[in-house]
Amino acid sequence: MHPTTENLLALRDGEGAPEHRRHVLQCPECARQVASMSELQSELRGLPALEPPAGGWERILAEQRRQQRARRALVWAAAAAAMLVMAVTTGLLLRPDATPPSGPPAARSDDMADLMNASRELEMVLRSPSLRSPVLRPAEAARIVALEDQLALIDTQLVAAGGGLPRSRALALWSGRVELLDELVRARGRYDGRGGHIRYAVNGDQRRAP
Amino acid sequence: MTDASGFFAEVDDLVLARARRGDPGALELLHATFARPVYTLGCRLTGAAEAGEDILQETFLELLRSLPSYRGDGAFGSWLRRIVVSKALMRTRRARVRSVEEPREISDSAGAWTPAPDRRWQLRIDLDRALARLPDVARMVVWLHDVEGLTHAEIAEAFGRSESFSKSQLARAHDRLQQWLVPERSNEHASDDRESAGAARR
Repeated sequence: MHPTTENLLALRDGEGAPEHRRHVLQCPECARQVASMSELQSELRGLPALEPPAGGWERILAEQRRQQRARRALVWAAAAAAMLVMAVTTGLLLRPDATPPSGPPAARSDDMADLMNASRELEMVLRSPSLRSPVLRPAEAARIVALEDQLALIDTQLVAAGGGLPRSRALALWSGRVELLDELVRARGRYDGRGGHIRYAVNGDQRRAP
Repeated sequence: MTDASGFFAEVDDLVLARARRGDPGALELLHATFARPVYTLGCRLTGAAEAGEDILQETFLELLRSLPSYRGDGAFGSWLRRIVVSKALMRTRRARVRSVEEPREISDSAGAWTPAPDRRWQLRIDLDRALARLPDVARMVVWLHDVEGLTHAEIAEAFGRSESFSKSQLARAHDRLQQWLVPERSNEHASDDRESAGAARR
């Protein structure tokens, strides 16, 4: 019985079981197979580097500027929305017959303000110099990239809509944004650099980055 | 650790320190140094030049965002390579939603291919085509292991899977590459009976 390809590859890499090594010493076919695997590896390593298209750096900088503009636009949109909410809330409270806003909890105007505040607070946590983000493992990096992609998608929708979103949709997007930022803090903020944990609050709920 | 794809080029500490502070010249120098390795790895992992170009851009955008947090406690090239791998993995995961994990069909132009006079050049064309034809995961594993020198444990960690997964994907890639490449090699070496040995094994 010949060793499997997996067994032979282990031998090629200087590992593998002694019985497989003994087999290969006595089996010309398997010895040839191991040699062929090594040859293939050398040929793969010998493939030339590929030349990227010209002008790549300029395109990267242009894309960075575009993303920064989109983010700034979002900040402005958030600030404008927050002011609007504040103006509406203040106006309601100053009316002589002012009564507390009614309706289901998810539809109250202060929910939107809470979400925006939480969003702002989480972004500050993410920008904090004490929050380390070493991007140590590809799996962690992939998780962070996935979260940032989802965040960018929400930001794009918020920016594209300006102030024209239905209230329920805006609430859903801002709520999703806070959840994603919360996950990002957890994914990135493993330590605060002083041996402790990052602490922050979302809607009054005290949280701690793991 | 091998540097077959150029990720371990010398990087001056001063350049890195300046780049971390956002110095445009230092950042451009990093791009000039690593654009080829990043693009090459992106193309090899995904099997497509267009995807390689996207990964090149995404990787350097990530670098611009994350460089201030790079602590310098490992080789810079190694850190950068992990970003490339994670971008390629993300792309593969997205693509896998749309397609099954089967060997790709070679494009029509491949059928019209005629051997180049130089054997080494011909072999590279064959290898390029065979790599591109592999299923995504098998291609990524064989490249990361055989060329980039990642261990099965490191590949398992990157994919969030077991070492057995990495080993079986490597074997799968080798089986297919040998299957596709051995006939051509046998033509080059008429006296070499590797093809019949390979056929017997299969």
